[in-house]
Amino acid sequence: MVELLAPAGDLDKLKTALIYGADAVFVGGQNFSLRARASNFSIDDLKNAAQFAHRLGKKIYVTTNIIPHQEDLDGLVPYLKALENAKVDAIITASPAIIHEAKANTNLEIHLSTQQSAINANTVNYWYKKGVKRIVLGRELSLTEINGVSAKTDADLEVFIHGGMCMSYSGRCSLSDNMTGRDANRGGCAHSCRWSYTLEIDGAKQEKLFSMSSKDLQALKQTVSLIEANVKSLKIEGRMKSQHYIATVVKTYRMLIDEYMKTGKINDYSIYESLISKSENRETSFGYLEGLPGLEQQLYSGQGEKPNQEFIGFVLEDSDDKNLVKIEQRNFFNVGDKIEVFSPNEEERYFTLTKMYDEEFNEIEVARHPKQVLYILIPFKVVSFSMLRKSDSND
Amino acid sequence: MKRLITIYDLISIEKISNDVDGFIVGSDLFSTRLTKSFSIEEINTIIDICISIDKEVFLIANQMFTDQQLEDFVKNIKKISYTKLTGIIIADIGALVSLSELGINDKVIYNPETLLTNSIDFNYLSDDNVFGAYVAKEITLDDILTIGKEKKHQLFMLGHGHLNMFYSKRKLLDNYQEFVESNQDLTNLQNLKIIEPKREDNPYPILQDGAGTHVFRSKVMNSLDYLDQLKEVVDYLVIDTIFKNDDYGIDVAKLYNKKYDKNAIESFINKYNEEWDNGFLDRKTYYKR
Repeated sequence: MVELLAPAGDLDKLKTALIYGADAVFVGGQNFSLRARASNFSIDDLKNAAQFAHRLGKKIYVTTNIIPHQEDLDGLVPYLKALENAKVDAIITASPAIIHEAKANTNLEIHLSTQQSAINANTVNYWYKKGVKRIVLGRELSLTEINGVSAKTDADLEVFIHGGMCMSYSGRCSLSDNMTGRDANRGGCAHSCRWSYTLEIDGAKQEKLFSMSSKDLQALKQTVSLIEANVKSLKIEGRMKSQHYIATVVKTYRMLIDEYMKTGKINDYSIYESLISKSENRETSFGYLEGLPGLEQQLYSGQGEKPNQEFIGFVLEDSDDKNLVKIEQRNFFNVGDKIEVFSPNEEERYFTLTKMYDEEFNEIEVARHPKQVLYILIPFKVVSFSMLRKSDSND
Repeated sequence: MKRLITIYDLISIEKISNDVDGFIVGSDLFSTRLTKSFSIEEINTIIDICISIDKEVFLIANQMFTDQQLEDFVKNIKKISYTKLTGIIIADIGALVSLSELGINDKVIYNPETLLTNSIDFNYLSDDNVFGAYVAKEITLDDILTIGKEKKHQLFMLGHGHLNMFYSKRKLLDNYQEFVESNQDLTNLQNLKIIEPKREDNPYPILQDGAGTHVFRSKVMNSLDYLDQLKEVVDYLVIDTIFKNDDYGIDVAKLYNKKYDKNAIESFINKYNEEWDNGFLDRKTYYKR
């Protein structure tokens, strides 16, 4: 059975990912992890997270994926032992130093990070023989090439299916280091490849700006081929993404995978494309999966960011017996708005908001304060972790 | 400490040879970011020239390889007098596996650009009995000295040149030309730069070759100020002459061979109108927790 692997920047996002259908999550600890600005987990957080995941029969992997400088190695072994003690299921790492110490001092399962840019069977098998159970392939491979690698290895393969794309071979970029001093391989990436540049040809500045920025990856239509290629884990990227994003993306791929597993085919991709589009705040494409990306897979000026104001609230508790629902506000909305309820195990449902109260149960008309706790009347039962979106639907 | 240099024309080998210990050559069949791409026949000629003048010769095979490209790489290696090479510089572990199958893992020098930043990572391939490895370009002099004290194989270091800071498989200049609806082919042109609005004083050279697109540091990195300390641990200091001709190579090789001479350095910088810095030798990168 293929694994759907989702990112989680904090415990709430972890719970959201697992409740919405991820089989496993990957999180950052407070040491040795990229995405330094993601709200990374303490050891106690990791214990709680592992308990939550294991209760659901699911897994948690911890990223230890920095490329450590000499000074960063202090404290590595105690940290790895603490991860083992927290009962995490594996570490994801790029550094042979971390692989070596994990093997020498713990029984942690080891996954090789995409930072090592494994893009051929020789490399995959090299690391597998060194005791690395799973290899996260570089994003530079087509479906045909992934299939070829898979046929030549006993290692578990993990492939990115959704999220941001490094424009460079991952781990081999020092744009950020050189342009800003921020070390991309130690969690400080400034995303310099997403900036706009002027191209100069033989001293002549070109009028139109040059871009190195990539559209995000979205592989709904390639997922079945990856499953058929015996890829063991399908990975969604984005530990810094919102709960709404994670819930939407995870649920979409969950439904797609389940349909394929149940029927052997996908009847209508447009259902999934429509659902996942509600989470997108950047344009998407299929990356390298259909071959070398061209202009169509890049972002140029005037494209790219798509503000997403549709997500208006997060359900904190199940409906009470009067159908009042405790929520947390995320974007502006009014009484009278048509609202879509998006839940882990239900189809989307719709209602028009008629009553809303603040935390002291004063009736209000407008929800204008981010993170404000509110009570709203929803004419059907909803469960915690449901999401509320503004809707244009006439359903 | 031996000094190696890349070259533009094989007729320059003898002129430069007084000031270096060896040469690095490659082919766009399996190399990337080259000063000049040579044919297999030219590479075999260069190997023989170097041997005849008692110089070391290294082949650079620093592309990232898919399975198919690795097969092609092995076919091409077999056409080269590889047993006569001093070493083969690779960027992809897959190439190490292929070269081990040819029985020449002891000629492999691993240069993954950014990844060898501590002594354990640097030494990791010693179990595979490789010739050596490059320390990352992004670490300090202190880190290099620490790694050097614990090294288990030959330590290589990029000591001079326009160092690479970005390697994408994508053909980003082709994509740009499609965006602006131009038919001009920018592949392998060495007169291209990109400029970021907040850093207008630092235009970054950009190159698209057969392996993808590369962006380079604006300033030329040099290590002349630190040679005395580097000599203690560095086995091979590499001078990369990408974007330069062999006149530059001859001059820069002399600088690194002679006793430190501040006036000669200033004269060189003025002659070639360059801006220099020390890369990360004296500057630490940082990251937020």
